Amino acid sequence: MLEGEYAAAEPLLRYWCDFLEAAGEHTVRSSGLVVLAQALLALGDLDEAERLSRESQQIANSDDLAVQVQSRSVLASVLRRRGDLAQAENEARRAVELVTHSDWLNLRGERLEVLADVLAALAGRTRR
Amino acid sequence: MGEIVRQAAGILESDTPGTAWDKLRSLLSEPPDARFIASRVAQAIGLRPGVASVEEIAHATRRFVEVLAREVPVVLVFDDIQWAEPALLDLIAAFPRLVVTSQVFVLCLARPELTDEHLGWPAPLVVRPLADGESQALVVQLVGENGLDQSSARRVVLAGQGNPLFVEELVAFLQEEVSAQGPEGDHAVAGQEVALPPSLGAVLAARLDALEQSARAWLEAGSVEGEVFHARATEAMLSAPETASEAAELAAARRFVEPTTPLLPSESAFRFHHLLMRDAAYHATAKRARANLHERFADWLESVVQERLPEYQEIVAHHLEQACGYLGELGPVNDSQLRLAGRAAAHLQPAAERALARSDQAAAARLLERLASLLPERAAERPGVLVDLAFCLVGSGRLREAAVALESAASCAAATSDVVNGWRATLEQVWLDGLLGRYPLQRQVDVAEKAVAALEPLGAGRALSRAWRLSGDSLYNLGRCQAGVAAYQEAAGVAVACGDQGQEILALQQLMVALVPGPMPAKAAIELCRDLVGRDPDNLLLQASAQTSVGVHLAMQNRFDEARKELAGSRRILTDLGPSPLPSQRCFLLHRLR
Repeated sequence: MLEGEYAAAEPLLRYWCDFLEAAGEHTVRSSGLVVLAQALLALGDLDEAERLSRESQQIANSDDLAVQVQSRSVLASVLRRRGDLAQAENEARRAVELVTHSDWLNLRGERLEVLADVLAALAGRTRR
Repeated sequence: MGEIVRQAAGILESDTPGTAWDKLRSLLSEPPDARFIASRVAQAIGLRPGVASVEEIAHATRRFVEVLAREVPVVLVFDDIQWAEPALLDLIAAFPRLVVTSQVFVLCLARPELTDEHLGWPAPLVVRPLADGESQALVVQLVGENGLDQSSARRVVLAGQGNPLFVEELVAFLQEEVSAQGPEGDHAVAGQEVALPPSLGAVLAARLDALEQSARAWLEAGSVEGEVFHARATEAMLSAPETASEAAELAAARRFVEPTTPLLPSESAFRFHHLLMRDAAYHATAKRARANLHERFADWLESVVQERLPEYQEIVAHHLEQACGYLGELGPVNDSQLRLAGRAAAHLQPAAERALARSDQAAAARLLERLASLLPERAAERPGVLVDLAFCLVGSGRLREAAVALESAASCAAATSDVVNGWRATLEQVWLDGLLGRYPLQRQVDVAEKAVAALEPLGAGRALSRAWRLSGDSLYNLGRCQAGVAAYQEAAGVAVACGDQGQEILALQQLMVALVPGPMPAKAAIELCRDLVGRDPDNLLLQASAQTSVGVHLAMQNRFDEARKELAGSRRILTDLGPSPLPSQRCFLLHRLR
């Protein structure tokens, strides 16, 4: 993932998530699903990225910050790429809001980046 | 592993632990990482205590083999690896990829179920049944051109179904039948077409039945030890030890056994002609006699290895468990059975602790399951053993079984008023429920805090450290990095105070993960990591965690060249260590600069 080899990362992540599902585990799997959704987003499979990010949100603890904000960011990016910018902004702002009081600084920075992308798209549309 | 190391270093079972250690060190005197290799290998075989991880041990073992292969090529033979622990299979599988600078040939023998269960293994060379012509050639090789009449040879070839052992045994069976008829019997037997036993098991049983009583008793005693057995052990197990040498000659003459390299270097040993021969002898023994022989073998092994017992404890425990199990099948629980169970448990406990110390959770879980099955319901050790078992089962991905173990642990702890293990069971239960998505993180923090308050006055260091670590994990996942780091520092501090190095290392690794996204200034984080790794400079996983964390913090200071060096160092260690059972941890450690 860090080297941008999303196609290579996808089967490894799927294997890992399937292993955890077979074991009945939810918490680590929810993190895995978010990363898998990010890989699929990068590969352009928006439907699967959306499905997995929603599933990860659903099975994670409601207060598991990283999964809750990362899954919303994936959703925001999916919606942005589909052109549903209003809904994308909602998801991106919700992610930023969730992470505002955290001292997990990287996570905050990355959520702001996603929101900035959505706002830039909105501004572009307005300008057009 | 133990056999390989002892053989290479010339370590005798009669050597003191100090002498054995000296021999291992002198074998490895040259390479710069000699101390690392020797200490990890010694820990792996039980020669010295330690808390190195299973990955470090695997790395040290590969380096050990590389050192051996500097002068001459090394051949490693692993037999019956379908029964190997996962950690050993991982080690063997990584040899071709990681041992690249030395001439090492690895030969593994296994039954087909190995590749059924481990799909990633290289395609095996399958040993196929012999063709009829090959079976015929084998018969001629065994008895010569005229050793059997043509009709009998043909019947042997057909009945043997291409199984060379079956062919050999049928030939031996016919020869023994002929011999039993006396010097004139050869043609008569062939002419009468002696009925051939219908299966390999039947021919082995028939040959054993026909053997003299003393030789049969000797083989039965040997079979209890295994495919390879030691002469002095068998002698010690027999009720008539004076018959041993004659029995050995007879069994060897009839090709039931042959002399072989002993597993205990200062002994002499025999090997059954085939493992199935050993099984036939073993199953021909009455259960009460088997129980007795297992116990005698355990006694003998204990007496031979003495101070070096830790290296052999799993074997001693196995024999005592077998003895206990057979007595259990023969009647209600009695004092003998309880005594054997107690002895077996006393050996399994330290073996399980060693597996836990090296984070080999799959192996530890198996040992702890065996241990739990031996302990009476009200045994004081039972709640603690069940909590450890649950922890290892979670680590091995066996979550449902872990839940069952925790339920038993909690009820045992309540029944025995064991407050500390009651809290340990609660903490693991909360952790497990968290993994199953059934327990919000904030509630995990609340429970951990209550545990800390309850355990602190009791001075229960290990449980207290676990409570702080759970608190650290939950706080970190709640997005409260600084609070998480503080909890991990408490966990490590308590672990140091109670001398639990394993818990300390776990807490420090997590701490260094939590530092990266948190608010601690980079300079302070770098200093902290460098200070922490100094606590155990030989611990490679700790070093890799520190180098990664330091590398990322250096990058935050725009010191990219230094950062890359640290990350390259971390990556080198992780590559050397091979595949990880904890991919999520590795994902963090393999952090790269973008």
